[in-house]
Amino acid sequence: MNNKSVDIGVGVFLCIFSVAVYLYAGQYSGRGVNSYGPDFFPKALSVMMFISATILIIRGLAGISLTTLESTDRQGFIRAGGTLALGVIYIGLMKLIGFYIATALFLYVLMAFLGQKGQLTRILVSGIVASLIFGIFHLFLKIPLPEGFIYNSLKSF
Amino acid sequence: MDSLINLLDAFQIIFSNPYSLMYILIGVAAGIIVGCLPGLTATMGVALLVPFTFSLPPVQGLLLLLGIFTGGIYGGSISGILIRTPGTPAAAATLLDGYPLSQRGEAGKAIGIATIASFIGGSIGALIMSFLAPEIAQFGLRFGPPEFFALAIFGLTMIISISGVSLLKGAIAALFGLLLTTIGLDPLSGVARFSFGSDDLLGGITFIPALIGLFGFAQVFHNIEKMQIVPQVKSKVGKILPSLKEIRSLLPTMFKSGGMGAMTGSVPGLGADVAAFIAYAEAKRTAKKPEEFGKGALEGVAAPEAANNGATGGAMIPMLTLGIPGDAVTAVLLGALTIHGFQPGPLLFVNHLDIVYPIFAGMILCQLVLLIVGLAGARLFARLINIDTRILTAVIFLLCIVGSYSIRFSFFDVGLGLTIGVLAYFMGKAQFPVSPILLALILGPMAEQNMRRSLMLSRDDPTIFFTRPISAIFLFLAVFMAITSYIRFKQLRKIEQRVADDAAVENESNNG
Repeated sequence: MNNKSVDIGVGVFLCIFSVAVYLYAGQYSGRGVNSYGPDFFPKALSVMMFISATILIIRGLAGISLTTLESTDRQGFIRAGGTLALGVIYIGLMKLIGFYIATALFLYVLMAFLGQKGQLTRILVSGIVASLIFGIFHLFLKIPLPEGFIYNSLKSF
Repeated sequence: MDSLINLLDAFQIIFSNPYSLMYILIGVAAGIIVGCLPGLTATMGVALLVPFTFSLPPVQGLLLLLGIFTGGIYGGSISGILIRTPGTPAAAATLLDGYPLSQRGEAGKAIGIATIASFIGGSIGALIMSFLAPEIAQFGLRFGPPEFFALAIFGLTMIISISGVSLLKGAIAALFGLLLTTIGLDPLSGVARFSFGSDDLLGGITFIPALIGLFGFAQVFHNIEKMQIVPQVKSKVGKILPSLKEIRSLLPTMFKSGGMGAMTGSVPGLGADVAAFIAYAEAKRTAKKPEEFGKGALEGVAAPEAANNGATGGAMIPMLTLGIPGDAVTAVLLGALTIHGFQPGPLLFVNHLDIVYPIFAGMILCQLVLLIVGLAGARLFARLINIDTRILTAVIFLLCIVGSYSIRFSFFDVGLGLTIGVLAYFMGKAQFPVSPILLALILGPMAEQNMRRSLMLSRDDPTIFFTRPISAIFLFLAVFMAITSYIRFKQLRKIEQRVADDAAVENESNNG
């Protein structure tokens, strides 16, 4: 997609979005402490957003979009998407098996996914970083990290 | 006189606790590492490390963050000098003469000058901040809701300066950020807005996960997509310390640029990067041999480095005294202060002098630590640039997740950070800047609440904003800033275009 169609597409989406915000904010009217109640600010912003988005569309249609789109590397884009998916899996895994093991596993897999070839490096880095972060957050800063469903079940058992 | 006594007391407080000095040292070293690694900005560094300060005593937590800020701005020059890739935008001007020096085998000298200049510039900025900020805060005590509303509008005009290539897209990003601030309980009426029945959204968009999303996750996705292997440092660093004669000849440039940097940095919107370019241009204009600039002039390294570190102190002034961040990094610091329970603004100087003056003293000490760590560790930091990006990116992604989680121990916040990160990544693709969102997240609540409070005071009469002198002046300044910033925005775009064209021509001739 070129920048013109992206600007038009984004502009149309933002127009719809701002109308939706305006209408949704309407339900807050009359419940404020004065006539400028809780609906005023979101409504005012949505009107400004609508105007800005319309200008974006007009500029796109007139072919005067000033910016050029950043090029997308297809392989890289898939890699970024894969990383996001791994991140989501890691969060789920953390709830299940706890922070420490999930983190070491996640780092090992993510480095492999990103193309880090050294097996020993991956093992060492994932172990050391997981230990460091666990040490700093859990032991030093006393921030409770997830212990995991399995550990908690065993503990209560 | 009171300021001096309070400052000396603050030094005593810091020196009486060795941990405080340790946190400054850790912060500066971490900041330099973050700064010298291309792809990691000082803003990202501070955002990622804010969670590490949650359970620290406030002063020590803030000293750690100040260290990262100071070190991060300086650290960018190391990669700029060695591999012509500025670690942070603030170091973009430094490489113009730093890299030619490196090619001549004088990388060490360039780093040494950058370090000394950063120390002098940063110290000037910190001293100006220490003595000017209390006066401004005193003036700020006269402010009521209309003045704070006008101030927020004034602060929002800095969007023009941080909008990147398109002002319209910057404005849209800011409006989106302002809309995000309306999520959650309305503080004046108690009405839940746009929370869609979710308890997690009642408190609004949590600042730190949003911040990590904007500057952490998005950058990680961008880095992973490009997966650029950073060029290896090939040139030898060599001797670090320049000769005394060279230092002496550069001192006037360093002092002048440091002062200019502090003043530039104190204007909301003109961050360290703009300060560096302004000082570079001024040094070139007044140089005896301006034709040497761009070919390895020592002043060409000293001026931008003194200015960008001078700007760190300058940028703290509006943030601490009025609650208006001077640039993106101070916006993050403002958020960090709030998380630690301190609301930046004039009242901070009334209620929390125990925090304010250690910040001043800490900023001054950060410069001293920067000088020592920078000179002693230059070779080590230079070697860090060669770190495998596949390992680094994985670790940063992990830190983003843990950082988002640790503020409320909430997986919802991790999801929020990831969502905002994905959004910011696509915004970057379509050339929508993300910094205006950050600014809007900070200034949005200030603008809305004070606007509505003012209208309650005036019984819905909007002329209150124009009949109160300070408010009217700020609104006038906002319009003035908007116009002058727009003109400067256009000029900067032209300069950047010309520099890019020159670089392209130079590359072609090198390849040819």
